[in-house]
Amino acid sequence: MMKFPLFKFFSSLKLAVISILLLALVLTVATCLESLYGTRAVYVLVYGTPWFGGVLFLLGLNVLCAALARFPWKKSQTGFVLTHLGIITLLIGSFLTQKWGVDANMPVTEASQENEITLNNLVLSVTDEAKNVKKEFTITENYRENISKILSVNFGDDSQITVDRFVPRAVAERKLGESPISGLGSPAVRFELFNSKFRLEEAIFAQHPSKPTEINLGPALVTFQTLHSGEDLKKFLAPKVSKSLPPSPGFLIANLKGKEYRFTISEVQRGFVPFAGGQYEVRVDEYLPHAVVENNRLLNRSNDPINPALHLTIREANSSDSEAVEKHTIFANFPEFSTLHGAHSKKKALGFKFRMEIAKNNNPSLAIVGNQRGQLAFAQTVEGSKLYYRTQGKEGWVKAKGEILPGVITPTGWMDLQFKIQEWLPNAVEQTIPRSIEFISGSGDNYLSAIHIVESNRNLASIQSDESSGWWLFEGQGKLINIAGRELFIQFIRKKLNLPFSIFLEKFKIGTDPGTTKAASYESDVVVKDPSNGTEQKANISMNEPLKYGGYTFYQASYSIEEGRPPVSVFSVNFDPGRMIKYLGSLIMCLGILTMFYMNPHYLSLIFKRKEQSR
Amino acid sequence: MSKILLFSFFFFSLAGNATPENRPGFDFQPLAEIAIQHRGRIKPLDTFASESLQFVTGKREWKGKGPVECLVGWLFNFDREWENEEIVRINHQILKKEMGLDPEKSFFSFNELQGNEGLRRVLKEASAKSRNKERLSENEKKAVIVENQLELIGDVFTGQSFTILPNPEGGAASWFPITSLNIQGGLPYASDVTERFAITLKSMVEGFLNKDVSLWNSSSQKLAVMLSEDLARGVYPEKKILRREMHYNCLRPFRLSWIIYVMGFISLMLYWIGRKSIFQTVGLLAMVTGLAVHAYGFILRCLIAGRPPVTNMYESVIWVTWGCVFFAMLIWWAYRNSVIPTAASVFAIVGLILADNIPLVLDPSINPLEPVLRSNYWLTIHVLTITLSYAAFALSLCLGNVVMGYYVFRPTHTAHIQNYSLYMYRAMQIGVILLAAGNILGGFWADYSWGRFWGWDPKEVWALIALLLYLAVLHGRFTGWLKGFGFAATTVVSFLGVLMAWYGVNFVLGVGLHSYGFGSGGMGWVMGYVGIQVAFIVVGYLNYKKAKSTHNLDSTIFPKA
Repeated sequence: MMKFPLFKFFSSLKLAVISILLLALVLTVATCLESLYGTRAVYVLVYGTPWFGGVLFLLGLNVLCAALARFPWKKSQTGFVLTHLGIITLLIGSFLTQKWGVDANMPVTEASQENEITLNNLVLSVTDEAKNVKKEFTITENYRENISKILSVNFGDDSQITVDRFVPRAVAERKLGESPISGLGSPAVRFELFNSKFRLEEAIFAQHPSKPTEINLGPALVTFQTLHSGEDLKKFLAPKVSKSLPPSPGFLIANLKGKEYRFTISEVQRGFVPFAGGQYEVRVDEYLPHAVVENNRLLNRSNDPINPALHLTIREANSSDSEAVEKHTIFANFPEFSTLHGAHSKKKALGFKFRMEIAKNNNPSLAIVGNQRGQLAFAQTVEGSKLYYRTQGKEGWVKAKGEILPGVITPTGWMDLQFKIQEWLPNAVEQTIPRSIEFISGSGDNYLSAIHIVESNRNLASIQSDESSGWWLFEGQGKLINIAGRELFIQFIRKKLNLPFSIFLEKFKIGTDPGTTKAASYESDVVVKDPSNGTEQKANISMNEPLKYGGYTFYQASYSIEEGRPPVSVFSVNFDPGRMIKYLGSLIMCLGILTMFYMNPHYLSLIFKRKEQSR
Repeated sequence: MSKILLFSFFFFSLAGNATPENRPGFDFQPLAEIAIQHRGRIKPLDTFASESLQFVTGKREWKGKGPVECLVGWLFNFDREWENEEIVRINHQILKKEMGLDPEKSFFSFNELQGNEGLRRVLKEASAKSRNKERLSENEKKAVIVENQLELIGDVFTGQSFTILPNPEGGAASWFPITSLNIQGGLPYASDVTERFAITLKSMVEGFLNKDVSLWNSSSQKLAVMLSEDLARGVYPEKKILRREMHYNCLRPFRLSWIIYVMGFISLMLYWIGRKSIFQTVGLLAMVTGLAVHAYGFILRCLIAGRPPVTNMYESVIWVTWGCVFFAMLIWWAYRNSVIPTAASVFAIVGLILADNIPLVLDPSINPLEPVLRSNYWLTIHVLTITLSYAAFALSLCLGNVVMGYYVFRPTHTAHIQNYSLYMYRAMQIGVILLAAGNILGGFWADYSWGRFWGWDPKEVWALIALLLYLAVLHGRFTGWLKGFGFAATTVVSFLGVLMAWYGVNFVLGVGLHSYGFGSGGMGWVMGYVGIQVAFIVVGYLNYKKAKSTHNLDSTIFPKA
């Protein structure tokens, strides 16, 4: 055997030392890269590359040849042979996993079923819904911003889309830009609102031709509208202040054991209202027309009834028992939610079910007056020549008004607040542009990437391939485009696969550490629905207790809970054809090392002596 | 009625610059023994007070006042005694400059920091950055710590963090802070019980403010009894359990064991100088005693935490230093050479002193685990195995340095070099088998918990690199490339792989390679060690070279069996 020089080379101990050190060096560099650019990047740069496979293969070949070179083996070499055999088995198992294994994520919303799993690979998915054709193109990831032609898809007629930029970690930044086509944009102002303690910057668009747009900014309600006539301007500068309460946004319905009690929301907003023969009292503590969750708190975003919510208190009249007071939060759009706060810590509940009905055609602008905040209103004339402003205090009285120019600091007349128009574009579009950010290790690798796409379409007038003609897609986003006479849906997503069966999430449960909101354990009750044999199988998936079905293993990986939405449980889905081989290899290797060190400490010196003799 | 009155006590304020007053004869022991629910665990108030005081001041006591006394002072009379006392420690120069503080001072008062414009500015920037997941500068990280310190003080003096009122529901239910006494019907106890409790608390406050020793002592005693007997009997932890944790706090077993190791080390060194066998006996006895105290502390900590304590850096330092001395005693048993425990004691002493003195880097508090780490058999086994291999490698490092010492000072003593190389080799063998097995067990655990046998995670990759380095040394010896000096030198150098896997992945890679964080978190210490170690090897090499020209140093094959 020793006659083949190549074999001799691959079985040499010196090569072993070199290849071990080479692997150690490569791995050292890889972990440094990971700390700089993140886990995904290091797969692209090292672990997923063919050359890294080559390094492992070299090591495996070396181990194999070294074992074969000592054939026929002596009894004293048992440990040595076992160890080397174990390493080879382990490497083979890893190869199988790398080649045919699946490692994916699967988010499932409570009370719904899912059979789609998400892989790690980024793809550009192009769907022609008219023809029901879908194609996916792999986007090569990069560890840093990549400005070069990454991918280009042709549609005939010289029409094509090109991905020409890739940003691995992007933060979306909204910017105002002049609309390239006149009449396509809307009037917009970017303004700054500040006093000595507080400063914020925001942009507002007058999207609707006749109705003002509103945004809620902490202490102020800001509006922007278009003025079509001198009459409009007069109304804008001297609005009627109505002192009556705004019309009720809707109704609150309390249900006790099938019996219903109905209140208008504005009626219960004023204070406790007795009902059910004076036995109970209810009060609305807060009405949030557009409830959103920010930092785990429910806030109001605007006065448009988009996601109306109510905080309310109900109590038993004439009772001082703490059990007799309950706080509820109800959502008009999600009537099925349990509304009671701290329900788990109560022994008995009063047993009420609440829901709300929202009045239709409720004009939100009427709700402004009597709102406990100041108002800052902007308006521009329809042809875009002049910009006006008006400020109102909390009571609704006009504090200041007139024409305004960008860059002028103007007091609002309440809370020492001042404002400045930074930019005024009579015909603007909002662009979302990614800003590339640095990777921070330790913060998880859940950054979003973004790509820039340029369309060149021969059917329209050819557009230059500069930035303004292209558009950005963030991971998870899609856009409908018209190209080569076809309507195509372009998506930038992670590759999806469909399992032959689906998982229905019955219930997601979470346990916390004593006295904290920190999750201590979480679990999911699921039903596996397999249409191939028509079975349904119940199972529980919890931390460290996975579900195995159809060759796949489902692990409880994480979850997401937002107020106002059903919980989402995230499973890690895994298919590993090399698992058993790896386990076997590990076992053999450990047995081998034990045998080697503790049964015969001189094994290597014996091998050497024999080798020297054989020379 | 008394409920409403109670808290008016806490807030009446007489502006003044009074400092914390002395209260001779006041007994704080009954309060130290009451239970508090804090950070997901029920612990004695003593633990909470020590951790809080340490976090704010970096000290174990403040001007002769114990932690419980300080906390009670913050709670009952913050605005008169404490708000102008300089207790908040800030060391970061740039932050102090940013905040307009005196750069010469390290301690500042609550009043001086509260509402500091510079701090607010830095924090605002920091929170904008963390929302965008951008990296915080060192300055901003320190500002966040200062914010947390102030918040902690605030939560103490408002009573918010005194969650000492047990929830009768038990289990994971939240306990109530004493501020709940102010809320009508805010507590689930019978109203007469609540009333009596409030009255007792009120007389405690009176006793404290009026410096009435007997009123304080009797009412605090009474309060402690009421808490454990009257409010939620079945739920309240047993006295035994609370006392055990206080015993652990008070004994400080790991400090005790390093003191004993130091005595052992000195005694063994005296033996090497004077060759009086009594010193050897005493030294070895001290090592065994130290090991026993060390183990006792470890077991206490297991009982308190309810799990094997190997999930943070502090706990692993405790475990690895124990393992190092333990393996040293094992190898001593086989070869009866007391240089082995002497060498190991150096590592144990350095490790334990560090663990005892840098709480910001090595956090000694006992906290609940992440969900995935809970009640997991494989986790415990694999972490214990891997860290135990670090202990064996640490021993081989110590012995390797003994060999290096011979090359530096007595390069021609080949017989000794041979012996110590053999011991070093034995330690390395223990390490290799444990690390190989530990890596594999880690694979089992990852597969079992995440569905991934091997995920190229930096922690596991570095454990593999450490293993590869030692394997390269073992194989290199048989190629003939590594002889006496080379073998010892590469063994010592390979420990850098362990250091990286153990410490570096969390503290160096964890904060990123090019951040200002490089110097913090003990990086200076580690780099200092590496520098000295490399210098030692270089000097050893030069002396070895010089001696080699006149003596045949590498003629003997070693280690001999």
